[in-house]
Order: sequence, then C-alpha cells, then structure tokens
Amino acid sequence: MNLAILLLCATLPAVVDHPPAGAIKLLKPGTRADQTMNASSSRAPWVDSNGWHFHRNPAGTFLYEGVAVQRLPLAAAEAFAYGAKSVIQTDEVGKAALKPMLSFLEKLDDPKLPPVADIFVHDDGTSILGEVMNLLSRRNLLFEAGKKPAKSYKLVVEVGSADFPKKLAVNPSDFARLVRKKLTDEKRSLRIYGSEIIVGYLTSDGKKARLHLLNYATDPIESFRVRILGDWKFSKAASYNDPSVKAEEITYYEGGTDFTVSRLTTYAVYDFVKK
Amino acid sequence: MHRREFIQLSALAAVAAENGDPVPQYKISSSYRSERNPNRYPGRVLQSSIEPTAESVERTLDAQMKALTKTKDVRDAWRVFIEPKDVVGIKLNCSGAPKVMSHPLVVGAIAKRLVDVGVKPGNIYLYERFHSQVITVPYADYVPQGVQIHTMEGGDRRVRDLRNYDPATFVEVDFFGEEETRSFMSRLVTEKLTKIIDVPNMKDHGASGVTGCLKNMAYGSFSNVARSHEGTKTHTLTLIGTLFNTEPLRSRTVLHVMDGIKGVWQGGPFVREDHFAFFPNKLWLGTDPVAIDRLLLDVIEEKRKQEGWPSVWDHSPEAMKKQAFMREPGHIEFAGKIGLGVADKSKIKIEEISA
Repeated sequence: MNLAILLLCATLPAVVDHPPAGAIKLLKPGTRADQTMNASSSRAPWVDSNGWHFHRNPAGTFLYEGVAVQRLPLAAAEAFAYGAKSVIQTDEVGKAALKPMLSFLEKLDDPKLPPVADIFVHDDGTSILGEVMNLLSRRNLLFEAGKKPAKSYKLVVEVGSADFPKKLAVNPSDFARLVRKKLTDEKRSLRIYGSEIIVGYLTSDGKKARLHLLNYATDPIESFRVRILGDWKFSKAASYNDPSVKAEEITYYEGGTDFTVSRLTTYAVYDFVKK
Repeated sequence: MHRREFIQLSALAAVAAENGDPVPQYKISSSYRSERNPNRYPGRVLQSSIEPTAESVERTLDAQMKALTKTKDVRDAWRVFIEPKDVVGIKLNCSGAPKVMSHPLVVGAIAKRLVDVGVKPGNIYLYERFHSQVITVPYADYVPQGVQIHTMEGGDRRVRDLRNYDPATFVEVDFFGEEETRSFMSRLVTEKLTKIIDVPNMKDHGASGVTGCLKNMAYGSFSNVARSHEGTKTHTLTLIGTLFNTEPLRSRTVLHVMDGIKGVWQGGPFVREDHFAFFPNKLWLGTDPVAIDRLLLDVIEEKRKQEGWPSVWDHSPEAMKKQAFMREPGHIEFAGKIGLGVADKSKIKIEEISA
C-alpha cells in the first residue's frame, strides 16, 4: 500500500513520511452503523468523536489511522475545527478523497478566537474521566480540562468533591448528566436541537464568535436548530460542499440566539458578531 | 413571557399543588395569541351508530352537525365553524395504519362538506406526522380532487428533520435528562391552517391509557414527543394537555369527529394482534375534546373488562406484566383542569342522534 501522511493544523496541511513518535492515536470519527440503527436505551446514536482528546492534550500531536475513505474529510475537519496538530495516515485513494476538504479548509479565514468553555474539568488522567469528557463533548457541553482552572468557569468539576462524588464517576453517562444538571441548560453556551449526531465547538472573544459544526453521520443532516447563549448577529457562514449555507430563521429567546441550519454536509463554520 | 404563557404555567402549577405531584418544568415559546374559544359547546357530545358506508357516514355526520349547531341546513351548520376563506386541516390518526386509522369514509365526508361551504380543495390539508403511515391509506380516493396530504416527517424515527416544524413555537421540558428538550409545533399548523378538524379513533394506548381527541392533536402536531416515556414511567399525564393548550393549536381546533368505526382495546395505538381490534361502529361529534375523551375512557375500560384485561388505571405488578408503562388516563382530567374542556362525566351531555 502506498501510504501518504498528511499533517493537519489550523492553517496549512503538509505531507510527511511517517507518523511522528508519541502521536496520540484517535478514534475513527463517525457513527457506528449497528448502534445507530439499534438505538441504545438512551435512544442516542453512538458517535465516535475526538474532541475530548484535543481538550485533554491541547499541545499533543494526534494520529488518525485506518480511517475509511469516506470518513477522511470528517477526520480532517475535526482536527481543523479544534486546531489540533494531527496526522492522517492514508493511501493515494484517501489522499484524493481528502483533497476537496483540505482545499475548503485552506480557504477558511482564521479569526483566532479562544474556545468557549462553561465547565472546567479537573483531569486526573483516568480513562473513566476520559469517557466523561468524551460524553460532555458529544453532548455539546463545552469544557476545558487541566490540573487547575486558570480563569473562572460557570462550573468546576472535580471527581471526589462534594458535588461530584467518586462513586458516581463509575457510570460516565450518568456523571455527564449530573454535570449538565449542575450547570443547568439555561447557562449552556451551545445547544443543538434536532440531531444528536452533530458536535459543535464554539470559539469567541466576547465580540465575535465562530461556531464549528461537525456532522458525524455519513449523509447530510437536514434541518436542525442551534442555540448560542447571548444576543448575536449573524455575520457569515461557510460549509463544505454547500455554498448557499447561512443561519436561517434567527430568533432571540430567553437570552440566547437560535437559528436553523437547513443542511449540514460534513463541516461548517458560522460567524457571529455581538449585537 | 406572554400573558397566555403565564396563565398556562400558573394553571399547571395550581394543578400540581392540588395533586401533590410535581408537574415537570414546562416552558412554552409561542408568539400566537388565542384566536377564539374553540370549545363552543362545552360538555356536549353527539353520538350515533353508523355503518361503514359512505352513505351512512355522510348522513350521520350531516344530522350530527345540524343537531350540534341547532340549524336546519347542513351548510349553515358547517358555516358556524368554517368560512370559505379558511385553510382547513383535517388531523388524521394513522399511528395504527393500515389496520386502524381515521377512516377514509369519515375524512372524505368532512372534506366534501368543507368544499360545499366554499373552501377550496387546495386549502384543505389532511395532515399527520409520519409519511410512512399515511401512504398505507388511500385517502386521495375519498376526498375531492385537489385536497392536499401533508406529513411532517418521513417515518423513520431515527432520522430527525425539523424543516416542517416551526422553530419559534415549541414546548421545552426535560423529563429524563434527554438532550432533545424541545418539541416543535408543525409549521402547517402555525403558518397555514386557520381551522383544524380532529379525526381520532377509539383506541387504547399503552402509555396514556387511551388516545382520542387530545392525544391525536397534541402528539400528532409536535415533534419529539416519544421522549415522554422511559422505563415504565410516562409523562403523558401532563404533556398531552400542555401541548394541546399551546397556541395556535388550541384555538384553531374547532371540531372533533371521533371515528369509532374500528378501534383498538389493547396494544394501542397499534393493532399488534387482530383480536385486539373491535368495531364500535359509532360516530361522536363535538367541540369539547375532554368530554369526548372522557367517554372514550369508558368505552375502552368496558371492552377491556369484557375481555378480562386489567383496567387502564391498574399499575399493580400483575397488570404491569401485561403492559410497558404505568398508563396515565388521568391526562383527560388534567386537560379539564387546565381549561380544555369538561372532564366531569356528570356534566357531560350525550345526545343520541339517529340518522
């Protein structure tokens, strides 16, 4: 097999000869067909996403390996959205499949906005807390992780504290629910209604905001609703393979800006300015 | 918060306090005001026996309409509710189709009378949530040419699609920690229809006890409602009335025609086994969805008793072996308490109409 390796970062992709030493191996992003078709007790489809890896190791280098050709554009978009230094290992067929997405990403401007995080997670490095962070990311509960918070957050999660007893972390799904409950939906900076297969990543400096939307399904997602906390005015949007994209039916409800995305292919960015 | 929302939420809180059972924290987003009191004849239910023929259904519906409105000409009867300029929705019930559904004969008779009073066929919409259910019934063969059939979703509940729902009109509530906390109202209801006629069936329901006028309108006009059940718990007790009470659904729903040609007494809303279906061959008419559903409760209870099945109120361990959820037939009384109609049977007037 003729292998090509693409190094992705938030700006320019590059081709290298072999995976860098110490790269963190990522999940193959997407939904698992069997579990999507047979919904779990929560009725939520099973999504494999890597946002939590990027939060846990913001300075790390990451490796996508063995990703199916049709999922390669999603892998590239995912790494780009989070600004993660990542490597995709693929062959010439995969390289060709990646080309349109890389071309799209290359043309996107970079407003250099910091991530929005409602929650700080004291990361003890355990796999259980990793799974909690995975679920927070998949449920669009925006967080940062580290040893100690460098700024103030709406909620600080520390396993073993009075609010978050260690015994509850045994079930990561319930623990993530508890985090959501403690934060409250009203304080969430991002909500998505109408799909549980889309993961959003919000960046903002308070005056401008960019929302990255990643669709983990194979097919485009038709018509869902997004809510960003605060009053925002739509500025512009760009979507992979869909030049007509915009924020539609914008409404302001209880301190948030709601809008419709009529179609999401694999990846889109929505830019806003503060009203 | 609009005044109507405030009143509605206050009513919910009052009911909660009375029952000693917490009502979930509902939030309602709607810019629509009440357009009319749709319950012109509270507590009145007209009842007739019918045969499943076009002639019997049409003759009976005409007689009931005249009796309800105390008019001599059937067109005058319909004009009490409908103007030629109206865009009219006929809310089907196809959740059990093709074995049990709003009968095409009943739907066809209603559509014909709407045309008779001047409504353009293109301004009549038969509507339901799921396309996959509606296409199993040949409604187009029974209604005047030009009548439209509208569905909000394809039918695969795993594929969500909000394009046919109004993003600004919704009921928000978190029942079980589900991520999808909003149920959006149909765009057809908010943006096009000026009047709605509800055509439910006489059905048992595994979660709500029975499904009649209230549930057909509520769960059939909003997205994302199945989330009200998890494990054996269901929130149909309060969600049905809360959805139906949301404007403009409430005030645009002016008439209820309970199609009792064929019903389901166990396993509803579907006909899982043929012997769970029954044939009351009744037609009920009225403007009071609560009163009609209160009578429906008796019909289903009586049939279940005859067949040796537990009451829809029975939450005992023995009964729970035969059902998935702790049923909530109290949703009818709840709907009465928030002002949707008369739930007290002693105040319901049944008028037998012979056609």
